[in-house]
Amino acid sequence: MKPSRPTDPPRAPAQELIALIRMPAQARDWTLRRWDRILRMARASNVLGRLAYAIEQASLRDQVPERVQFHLVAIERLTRHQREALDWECQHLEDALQGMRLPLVLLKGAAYAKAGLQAAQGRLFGDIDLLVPREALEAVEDTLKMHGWVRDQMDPYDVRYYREWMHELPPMRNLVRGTVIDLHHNILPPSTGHAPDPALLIAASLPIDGTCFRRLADTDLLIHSATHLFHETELKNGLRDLLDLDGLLREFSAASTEFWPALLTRGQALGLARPLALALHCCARLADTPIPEPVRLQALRSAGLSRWRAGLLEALYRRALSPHHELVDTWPMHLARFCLYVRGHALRMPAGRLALHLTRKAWWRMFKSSSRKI
Amino acid sequence: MGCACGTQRFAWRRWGENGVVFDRRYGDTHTLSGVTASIFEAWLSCGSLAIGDLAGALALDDVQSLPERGALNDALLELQRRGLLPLR
Amino acid sequence: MPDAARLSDLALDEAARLMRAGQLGLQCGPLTLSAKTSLPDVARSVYTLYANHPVEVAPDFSDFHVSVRLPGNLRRFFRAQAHFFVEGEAPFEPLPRVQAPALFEWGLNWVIAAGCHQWINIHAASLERNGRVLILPAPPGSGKSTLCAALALRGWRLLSDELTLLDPHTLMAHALARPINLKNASIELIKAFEPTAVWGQVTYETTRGRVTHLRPPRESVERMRELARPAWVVFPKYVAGAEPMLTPRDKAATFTHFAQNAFNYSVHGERGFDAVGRLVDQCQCYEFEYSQLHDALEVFDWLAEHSDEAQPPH
Repeated sequence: MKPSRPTDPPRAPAQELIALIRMPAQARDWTLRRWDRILRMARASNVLGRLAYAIEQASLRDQVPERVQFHLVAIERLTRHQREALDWECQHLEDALQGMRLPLVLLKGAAYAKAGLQAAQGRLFGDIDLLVPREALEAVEDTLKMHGWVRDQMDPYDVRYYREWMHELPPMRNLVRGTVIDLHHNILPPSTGHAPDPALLIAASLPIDGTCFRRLADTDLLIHSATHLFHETELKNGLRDLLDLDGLLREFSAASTEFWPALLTRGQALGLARPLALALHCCARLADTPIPEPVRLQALRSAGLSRWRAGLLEALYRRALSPHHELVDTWPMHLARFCLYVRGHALRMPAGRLALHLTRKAWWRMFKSSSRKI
Repeated sequence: MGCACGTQRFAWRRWGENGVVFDRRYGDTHTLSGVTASIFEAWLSCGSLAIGDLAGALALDDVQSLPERGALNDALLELQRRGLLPLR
Repeated sequence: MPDAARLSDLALDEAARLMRAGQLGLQCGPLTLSAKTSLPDVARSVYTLYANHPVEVAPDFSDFHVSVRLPGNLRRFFRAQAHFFVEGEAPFEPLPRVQAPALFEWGLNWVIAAGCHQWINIHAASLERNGRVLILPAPPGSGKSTLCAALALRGWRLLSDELTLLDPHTLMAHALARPINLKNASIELIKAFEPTAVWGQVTYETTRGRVTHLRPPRESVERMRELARPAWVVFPKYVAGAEPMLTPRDKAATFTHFAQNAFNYSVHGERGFDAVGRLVDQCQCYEFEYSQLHDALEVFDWLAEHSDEAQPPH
């Protein structure tokens, strides 16, 4: 995809989207042309559902042009369906696993949804992520196999990649429904040297009422979301993940005055102060999340992140989190994404292996006739 | 386990001999025909898994003959196998 | 928004230029489809097949932005391919370069099936007569497309040859009046049936044989914004030498077919179950065996005239 000079000045498209989701009323007298552009951006960033939800919550759906409503209705049907499908799939998982008497900790989108958090609203869900104790992994895998889940075919390099470096098993797909579950034994690859002690996470986890599942404690949920975003290589869902973080921060800080100190302490305890600090800094700067300034500064200090370095990463992420779309792509955005892509992989594996891994991916892309991402 | 649970969990439509069910717990749609459809409908209305009760709901006077009883039993097992009816 | 001209009001050069710039909006039913391509054969094909469709130049708002282009990697040079994109995403694998114009049509089918969840989308042909809609579902090889083309060329208004689009509340059917996809022997059959019909330039050799597209009749396109109410569901089956025979079809079986063959039945969840149930209630459902096209046309015309009297047992 060639970057091109945009015909309209982009005016920080990520900011434009965030602002619209915060305050949909500003779009009351927008032209169709402007709506066309914002819908495309929203789709490319995977936040169209969130936008539709914001418009619905503000009771503005009828005031939006009919041609736009068409698409809002379509995405609402899809998000509603995915939410239902998540419930059905969790029911199947519960049927299969509840007899095992193990902590079964849902992660990410599935957790937000089942726990009734605001971050789940208007969200699309993909695979279900489940964290279990490492020693129970094989038993859980076997039980799932008995209930019709199978491992996808993978090439041997990828299989080794998962086994040696990653914190999760290769995905398992249900034969009947085609749904996918990712089994985790940690929230970060052990190979990074940054991985927290999963026993701490599981010990602090909370039950989800009405199910046999658990979810991470508020602070841990947030730290996981931060770690996920700021270690990520492919940032296509970056803006969506930033908004997840923003939603979680608002909800948790409103529920308890103890949240901020508890969050910083926990970040230190898990050895994840750095991604947490980055998350607080970027949310404050890029998403206008109401984070008390002393908290943000304390987080940076605890993480040993200089203002210079934080500023650099903020600038990279500001560009990289822009919608990946030919209308607004510029060379700085591509460069930023590339830097963060390399950074993400560097965080995952020792330097020696990194070059080999990246070269292999690039070679494969050049010759494959498939457009499938690897 | 009874009628209320059944109608909460299932949506049911029937045309002649055959019918279709939507299972709200799993989001699945099933097609049922003949005796299986009748047994399911009978269960929805009376909530019992006993052959005698189901036959009564179907307004069958007499379920004494073995083939008839056998057919009803097979239908019941089929529905249980598909996860639509609870096991006894 | 200026009054929409038809694509044929533009010269081919102008249309091709607009498509290169991504500034051509094709109107299909309620949708505006922005079509972008630099490939001259795709531009020519669109120009022919959508000649009667209204267009918007540099549309303010497009429902979908699609493009057909060469792949970005080395496959643009050897064993050349063409690739379909919607909003920068490629939903499927590239195809051989020569199939690029057909890829545009198949890609649009995918876009509508995957992106229009405000409707229930059934894999079937739909045509209207006297304000009522005939739905023709059928597995490949049943002759559905041939029947659809013949009916469209003989006074039935084409809504769609592949994607029957229904409002989930009112069950009213929407029309896109897009080109009809025909294969192998159907092509010659319809050419003989209606020599004045207009076709796409090229026939494509695919794994499923020869494929080409037929331009939709002008009246179908002119009336494409009219909604209509489904009244008949007919499952056609071509059987060599058979006498035409219309028999009632079990409604539960019809329901099951729709549940399995709607592109987005499951997306609608219980509302889909409810809507398809009502659809099957309100329509007369038949199976139809035939071997001669003119027999089929006679039977469907009879249905259209007499269907108030026909009350098949359930």
